[in-house]
Amino acid sequence: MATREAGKKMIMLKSPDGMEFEVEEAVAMESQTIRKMIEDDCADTAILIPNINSKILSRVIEYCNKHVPTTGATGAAASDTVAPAALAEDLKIWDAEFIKVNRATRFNLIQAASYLNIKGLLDLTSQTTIDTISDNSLEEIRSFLSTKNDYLPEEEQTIRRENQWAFQ
Amino acid sequence: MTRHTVCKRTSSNHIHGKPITNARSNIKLEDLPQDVLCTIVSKLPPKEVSRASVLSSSWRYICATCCYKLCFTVPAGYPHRILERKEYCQRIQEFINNVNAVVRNCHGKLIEEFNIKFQFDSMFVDHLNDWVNFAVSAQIRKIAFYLCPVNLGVLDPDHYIFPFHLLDSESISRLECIQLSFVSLGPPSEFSGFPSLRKLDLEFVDITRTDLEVILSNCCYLKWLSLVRCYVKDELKLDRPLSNLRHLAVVWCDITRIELPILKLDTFVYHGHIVPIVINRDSMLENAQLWLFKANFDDAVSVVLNGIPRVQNLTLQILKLGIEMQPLLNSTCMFSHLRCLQLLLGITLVDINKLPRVVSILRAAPSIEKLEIHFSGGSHLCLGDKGTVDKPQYLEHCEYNYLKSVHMTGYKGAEGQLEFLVHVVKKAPALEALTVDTALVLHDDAYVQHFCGKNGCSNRAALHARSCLGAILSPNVKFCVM
Repeated sequence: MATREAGKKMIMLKSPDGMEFEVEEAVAMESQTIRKMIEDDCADTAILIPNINSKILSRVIEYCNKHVPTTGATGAAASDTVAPAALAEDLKIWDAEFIKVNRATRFNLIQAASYLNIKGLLDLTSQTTIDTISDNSLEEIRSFLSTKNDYLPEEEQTIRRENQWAFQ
Repeated sequence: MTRHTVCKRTSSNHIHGKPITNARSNIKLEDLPQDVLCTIVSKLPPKEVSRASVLSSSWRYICATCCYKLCFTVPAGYPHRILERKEYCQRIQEFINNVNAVVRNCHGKLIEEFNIKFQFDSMFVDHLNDWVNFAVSAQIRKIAFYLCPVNLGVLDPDHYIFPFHLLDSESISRLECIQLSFVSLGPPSEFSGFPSLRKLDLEFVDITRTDLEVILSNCCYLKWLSLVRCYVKDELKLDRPLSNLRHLAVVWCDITRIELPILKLDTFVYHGHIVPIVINRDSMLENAQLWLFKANFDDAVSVVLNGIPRVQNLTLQILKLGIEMQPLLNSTCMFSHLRCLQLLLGITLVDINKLPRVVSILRAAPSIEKLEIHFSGGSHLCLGDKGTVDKPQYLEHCEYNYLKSVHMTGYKGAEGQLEFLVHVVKKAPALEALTVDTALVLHDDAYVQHFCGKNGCSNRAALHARSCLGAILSPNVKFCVM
């Protein structure tokens, strides 16, 4: 096991606040943005992730570590086919724990997932927001998302009328 | 497997740029970049998008500029049987009005995806055609119609006829994903395929062999092809290779032969009767799942071996399995890449003692690492503890040098089952784990519960397996009887 781990190619990711993260190439390539850089041979030394601080970046790496497919190695592939359902269930539970963060962190994760183009993470992080919008009244949504209603009363009436069907 | 992340701080003069935010607690969703917001908003149902535009002016702006994904669904299992006809029509009318309202709101916008799911009745044809017109003008790239008929029981229910005449050549070349259920698909004579199509998913679609060939003939980017209960009643055959195809599913289509020039597949799924399968023999295939209604084991194995010899993970399920006393496969052909094999066998008491013959598939798989074998019940296998086990001569010469794990469920202590396990264990020097489970995972064990009382048979079978197999197993093997 040790030799196989050692044989893997590592990639250095750098956050703007000066932290360096050494991760396996496969893990880094969970990000389509980084994958593209690696494929275009722009990743010889360290990759600077320009606008994601180390706190967020470390969480992103944590996510990628967990979600990197294990199919490459034969042993792991075998365990994949045993119970993909159980594995998916395990990931789901892990995801649910992972996303228990405050709103600011969540929005930062959304932005990071979007910049790094990690679809799974973007889906996961934006789902809470989608649920908030889907399940609550307008007033509640405004307070959850700290959005200020900047309409004049008559403006709001007009817009409500335009979208009348959505309130039925 | 653990992965390590090494983190170290570099000298501070290496700092470039600045972090997004310092986790300000007053960060607002609207502060996120426009494209990120669009991604989020586009995941909302259209009704919620409309509602959200009342939140604030910035939200209104976001909602108005985002690319939409429109999905309309009448809740599944719509209770038309319970409701009075009048009320049912009223509800459907409401649904149609909602869709029309959104369509009006989206006028002039670009739409990515248009999904409609409701119970079809021929009186809705005009509405559907209107929506297709709208979809064409909104330059959609993905379209999905799930139009389950109101009266499923009717032998030949009305199907919506896919309106090829409403599509212009631009929209045809733009479409990337088509998913249709309960639709009639008959392209016009001059039609020459969807050049950008990535995914074609047809379920209960009326289509003929020729029309299917016409549609597939020019789809050089097709990645995903799924045909479920589209009763073609003929061969599925293409001359031009589907060089990008990765997922192929043919489920209960009454197809008599599959002949497709495919270069590389990730998944192949076939459910139905046993038919010849001709896929490019050199093409690699990661996962294959075959579900055969009734087949003789060796026939099934030769179909797989001739069709997809380079499969890596194979699941073979045969509902009504026959094992015939016939000369074993003498083919020189091998499953050169098969690592994981899962067999799900509906075996009868008559055939259980011929089980050792099933090793024919292992013989053809020199690099097999993992074997799972599951039995389905209803055949009271626990009575199969008498009689002679059919042990072919060649068993002596088999070796499974890479086999690490064997898992059997539905073990009822039948002689054939035990012999099979003893044989495999003896010939697998690298075995690491053996699991024998008396419970049926495929079907529930009602028979045994009922007739054998309190799982007496299972307990006996488990004890027997433990003593027989325990004696010949190397102490390094993780052995588990359940």
